[in-house]
Amino acid sequence: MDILRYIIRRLIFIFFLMIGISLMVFLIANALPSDPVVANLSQRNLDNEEMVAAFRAKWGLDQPLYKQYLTYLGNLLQGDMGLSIRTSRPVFDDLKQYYPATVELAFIGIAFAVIFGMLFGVISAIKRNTAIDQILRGISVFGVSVPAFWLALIMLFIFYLGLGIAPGPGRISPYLSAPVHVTGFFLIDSLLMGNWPLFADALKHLILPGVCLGLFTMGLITRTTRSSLLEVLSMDFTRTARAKGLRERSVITKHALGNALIPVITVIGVGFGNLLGGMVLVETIFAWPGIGQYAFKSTQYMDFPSIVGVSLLIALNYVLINLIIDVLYGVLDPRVRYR
Amino acid sequence: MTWRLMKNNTLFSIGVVICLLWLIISILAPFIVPYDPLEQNLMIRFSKPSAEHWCGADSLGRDIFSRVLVGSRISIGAGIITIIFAALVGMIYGGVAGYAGGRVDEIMMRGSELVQSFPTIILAMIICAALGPSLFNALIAMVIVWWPNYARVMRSMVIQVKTNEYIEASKSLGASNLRIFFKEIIPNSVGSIIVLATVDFGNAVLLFAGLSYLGLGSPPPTPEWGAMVSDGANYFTYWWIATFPGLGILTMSMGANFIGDGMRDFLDPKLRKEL
Amino acid sequence: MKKGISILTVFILVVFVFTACGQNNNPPGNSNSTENASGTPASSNSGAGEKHLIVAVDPDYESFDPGLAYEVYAHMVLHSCYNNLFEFNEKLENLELAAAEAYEVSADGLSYTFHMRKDIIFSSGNKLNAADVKWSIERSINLKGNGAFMAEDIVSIDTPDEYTVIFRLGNPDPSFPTKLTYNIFCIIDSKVAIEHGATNAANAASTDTAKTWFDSNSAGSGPYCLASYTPKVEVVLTKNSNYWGKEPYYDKITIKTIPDSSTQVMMLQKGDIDIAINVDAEQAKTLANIPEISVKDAQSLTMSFLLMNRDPAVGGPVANPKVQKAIRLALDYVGIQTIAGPGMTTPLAPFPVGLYGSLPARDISNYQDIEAAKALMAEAGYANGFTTDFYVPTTTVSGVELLMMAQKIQNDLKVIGINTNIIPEDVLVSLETYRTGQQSLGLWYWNPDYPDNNSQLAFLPGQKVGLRANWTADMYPELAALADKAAIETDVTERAKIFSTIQNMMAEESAFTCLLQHTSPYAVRASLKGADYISQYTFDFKNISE
Repeated sequence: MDILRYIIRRLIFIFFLMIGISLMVFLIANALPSDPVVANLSQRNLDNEEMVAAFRAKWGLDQPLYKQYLTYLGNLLQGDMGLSIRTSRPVFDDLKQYYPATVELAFIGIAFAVIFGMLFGVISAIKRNTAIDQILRGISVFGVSVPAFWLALIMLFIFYLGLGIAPGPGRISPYLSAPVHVTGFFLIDSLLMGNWPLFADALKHLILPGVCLGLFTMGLITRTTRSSLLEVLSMDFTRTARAKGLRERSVITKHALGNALIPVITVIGVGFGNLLGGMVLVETIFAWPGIGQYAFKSTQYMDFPSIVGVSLLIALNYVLINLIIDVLYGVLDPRVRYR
Repeated sequence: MTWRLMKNNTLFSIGVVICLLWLIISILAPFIVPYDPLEQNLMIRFSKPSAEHWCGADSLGRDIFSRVLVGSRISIGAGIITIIFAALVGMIYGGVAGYAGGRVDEIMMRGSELVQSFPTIILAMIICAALGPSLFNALIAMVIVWWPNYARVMRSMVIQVKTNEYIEASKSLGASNLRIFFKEIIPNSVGSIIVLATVDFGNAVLLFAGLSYLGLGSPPPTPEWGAMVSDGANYFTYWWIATFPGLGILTMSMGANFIGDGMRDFLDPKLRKEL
Repeated sequence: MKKGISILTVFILVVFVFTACGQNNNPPGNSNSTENASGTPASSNSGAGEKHLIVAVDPDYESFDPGLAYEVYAHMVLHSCYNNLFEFNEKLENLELAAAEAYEVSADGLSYTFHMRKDIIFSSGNKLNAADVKWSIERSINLKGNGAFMAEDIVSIDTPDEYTVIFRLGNPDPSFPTKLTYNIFCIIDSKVAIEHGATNAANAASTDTAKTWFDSNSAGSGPYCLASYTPKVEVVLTKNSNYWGKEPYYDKITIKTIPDSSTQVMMLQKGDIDIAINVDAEQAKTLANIPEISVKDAQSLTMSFLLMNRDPAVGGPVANPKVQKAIRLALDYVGIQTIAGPGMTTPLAPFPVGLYGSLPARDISNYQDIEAAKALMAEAGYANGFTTDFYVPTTTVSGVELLMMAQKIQNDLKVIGINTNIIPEDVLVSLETYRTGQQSLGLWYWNPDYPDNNSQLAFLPGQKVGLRANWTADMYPELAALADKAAIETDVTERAKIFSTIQNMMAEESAFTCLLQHTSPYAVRASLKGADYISQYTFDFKNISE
């Protein structure tokens, strides 16, 4: 039951962390030099003092800052993130709408990163210090070094415009209509409709942005898999296994790999954070209607209910993923004790 | 150490060569560029890479090759400044937390976790938007999101050193806290901080390029790599406008990562986990 | 050890499969599978024979409530869904009656009587009558949206019978019919709207709850209905089966959100879309030699200009009128036009070419005069130059990036010794200091509120925009007096004369330097007919066909 108590403790901590984040972002957002009033009323209405005052009252902008925050926090605890000043829709609804697109893309990115990262890492370790090893390590360093926004442009230029083998930006081709909204994940919704062409189309649109986003994490995973596999292979129990006459292949798959995976899992957490950050840059280029674009637009418009909302959502994702990883880590590695 | 690493590790050597090259270029850039990076010549707008203009010309007819070379100074400078200040802030913060221990440590570490619970670029973006776009503000934002790593490493170092009997002994001999901090703890931790800083340099270059791409770096006409890629994104058919500054970011960051990788391999496994 | 190689082979296979799926990117049911650029047409390829038009836009809209929307592209959507009393037919010159068949104006110009058409039915099947007109406009007024100012002269709306509407105005306003084309005057199906929470009550601003419904539905009598709106993704319009006019060609119109203009162009080249609305001048050039695509210039009334503050406390050396004149002479207008792209002009004064009373554009071929500019600088006491801040909003005006233009201006001013520090700011941030007259030097743009030169008088000393440069009436009393005269002059020739004097005076002496009157290029598939730009609506979808 250690693990359960650990999870509960962490969740309680996350709750306070979220309150801390909301306070931090709220303060930063309120230090913005620009005025949401200017951002959201037309030039003509700004000359109308009555309307400006009404706008301020409506959004509580005429209250002292601590009161604004307390009101916000009170609403937040009841699940109300307020209205977005820019879209004048509840922030919660906005996030609900853009979130699935981002999750779908993040999932593809992570899946790409994990599959190829581990594959490359294992090959690299087995073939250590050969040319293949050097090439794969080179690829992994390329992955952690390449600016995602630049790669996105270059890939679109080459694969979409140049060779014509990849689809263009967006979640689906322009001549198709979005699937009926059930989960918001186009892959799942199109399957629920039984619409295979739509599924294939949506999947194809995920590849380029997914690769762009996942490359960094892939690099990290390759590196970690390689070094941890090498370490495990030099340990006593693998030597014993070899001494018992097991073939190299089963030494690796049966004994070494499982143990080597543990550090890889922690790296996924780091990679996920990078992936969420990369969303801001990549979503703009791929016209992806997700929370990365939403976050950037919100900061441009000084729309602080949405800035705080989207920050909370991103941070929550990040800490929850890391919680899951920590728990997994413990499950896989019996030596870890939760405290 | 460098020499031994270079002998055994091709990638590390490549990294050292790339970084040295960029360093030399950035120092010499003003003297070796073929054109003034700010000089506009509307006659040659969007001209292709050629013998006169190796990387072509941009939308205002400026020589991209010269701009990329000069741009390296800003990227390297931003990376180094960010890392130095982040390391300083983080070392002091982590040092104090580790040294104080107990409640203070607990609260201070929760504070750094608050910052770390964000993907760096998103927090940096919010801070930049709040402060307004300029090179100085971008650097402030980068330092703000970057210090917690150093704080964490420093703290664990301090705790490790603190439990050393040696320090216990000098404490009992009446050495002041401050003296112990500077005489014992700092010299003991500086090595691992420097390694972390090397590994981080590539990431700092990338983050800075990202902010600059979003228009949150220094104002035009400064030749900043990220901003140049963003300029080229508007003219995708003139591929050279975005490609070359992007290659600058890529190679510099790759060089730093090759070095970082090599150093990581060289380190003992215990330290490796810390990084 | 063979394993490693076989894994690599698997990887290569996987990549190959991915690429292979990618290859098949032609829409289903389209036999044309050529891979050439701009090959496959995007339209008429989904469903059985359904004609489908796909438009890409960098959208500005957040709402499709006719009473609240004020954005340019929102009007494009709303014009297809609703009818007004007046509309522009193909050109700005053709202001025609739409939902009315006749109208009279009283002799004092204070009362407009409209006789409504009797054959109009809404998409719901309800009949359109005078009560709907009154209800819709009252709702728009009471919602107090961004466009409500256009109705501020209306004192009352009466409906003596089912098909007659009488507007009474507080002041005579010759531009009233023009204003009636705007979307706040769209005629809404009041029965349907009320069902969804709409109200025309005086407190509608706080009690009307229909906005969310209007955002993804329409209740009008136009050729199309709003079928769905997914923010950041698309707007879908479907044919209104109850439409009273000529049946439009397309069954379905999808307006895709593609913020990036280079992406729009890429998609048009690949045949994924039919119309790319936001095209950059440079990209337009690259499209020009592709026969399947035609690039057109949309003549807009938008101008960009340099603001030079007249208050020495703000502008410093810039506030000196001689320096301002020197700046005007130092700029390389030919170069600026080159950067902005073909079709651009440089008006004499902030009165866009094409509006009644505007003079022809400045002849820029010999206008730049560095020597004269340097002499003026010396006369003003700045022979050695000075340094000033230069505020630039980070935005694109009709495909021209202001930051790029600012770098060109910076370059030109350096020649006469003026060093500028460009301060790029988000428009919304910069707007604040611009409006309150705190920018020494600023690069700005202006779009008339309605297509009439009266709205340009704001640039005169003592007027709204003039004051943003702290250009007060007492600095140029003769010009300031002409502003008041021009605003109320009803005699057409006299009015033109006053405007001409104003422009000639401002061409010589002004706190503003006009840089460009913009045209914005857009690109369409060459086989489209009727895809012509009209500044009010951008496109009138009912006119477009193959």
